[in-house]
Amino acid sequence: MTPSFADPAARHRWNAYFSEVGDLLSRAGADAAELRNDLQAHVADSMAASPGGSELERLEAALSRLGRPIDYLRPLLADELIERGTRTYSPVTIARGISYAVMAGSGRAATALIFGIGYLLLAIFAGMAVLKPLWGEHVGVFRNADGTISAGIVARSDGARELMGWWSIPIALLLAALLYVMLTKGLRALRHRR
Amino acid sequence: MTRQSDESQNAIGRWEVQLRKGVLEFVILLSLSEREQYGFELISGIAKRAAIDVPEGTLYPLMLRLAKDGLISSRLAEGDGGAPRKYYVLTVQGRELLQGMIPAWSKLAGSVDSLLPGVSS
Repeated sequence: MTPSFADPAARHRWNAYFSEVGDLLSRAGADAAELRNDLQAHVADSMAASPGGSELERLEAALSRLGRPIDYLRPLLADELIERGTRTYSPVTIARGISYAVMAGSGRAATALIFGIGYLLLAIFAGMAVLKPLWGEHVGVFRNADGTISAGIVARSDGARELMGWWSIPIALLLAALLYVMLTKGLRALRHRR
Repeated sequence: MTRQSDESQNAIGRWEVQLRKGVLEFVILLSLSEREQYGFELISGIAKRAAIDVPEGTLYPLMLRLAKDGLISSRLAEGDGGAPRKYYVLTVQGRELLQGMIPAWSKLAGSVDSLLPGVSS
């Protein structure tokens, strides 16, 4: 729903704004077109309700009251991407959703941070399983000469003794899978509770 | 203005924004409990009557979520100029939720008010 602008500058400004909205909403899924139409109708109504000024001034005022698209669409994008990611078990989509959640701030950021750490741990376990056959001396669980334990992908110290050997591969894979299922189900439950 | 009072003003501003965002859902349901309204009418009404000064764009993703949760619904009807407008209305589920929210809000507002300096309990 684009108003018929007499001023080309106003038309250009409208197109630029809703092109940004469209770019952001292209990641949002099924409701994107409906939301875009709602926003366009809102700006058209807002302009019509403005008391005076040129077309461009009224449009600028209406867009300023509406806000920057990235600011008000971030929470929606975070929710949509996390929902899609948890439904399809897609780590890339979940990571994108979490990044939007972090940028959206407030309580979402703390939740996203916790889940982000969880996914980082997952990546470490998966990395251990992949790197163990290639770089076995530095991947696994080790008891150091001073009695401390090091685990993961480590710089092995002199006198360190490996504790699990090749068993670290299936155990790391199992932990990665368990963590992935738990985190994904956790995100899904959190979304439904909101 | 000193740097400390600038920081203090910023902190108050951030707190106020969060507070307003927190009650938006309640305010939308309250506004729609009176009558069905189209988006701009609803939002400008909220801004005027409830002094909820948040970017207007914030409201639309929230309306979408309220609709997904079954609390509001919408229908297209002719607007003033003939172009169809989307009117929002409370569903039965939304009205029931609102009936539960009103006493909870009154209780919260009353208990916070009672802690304000100069207000006796």
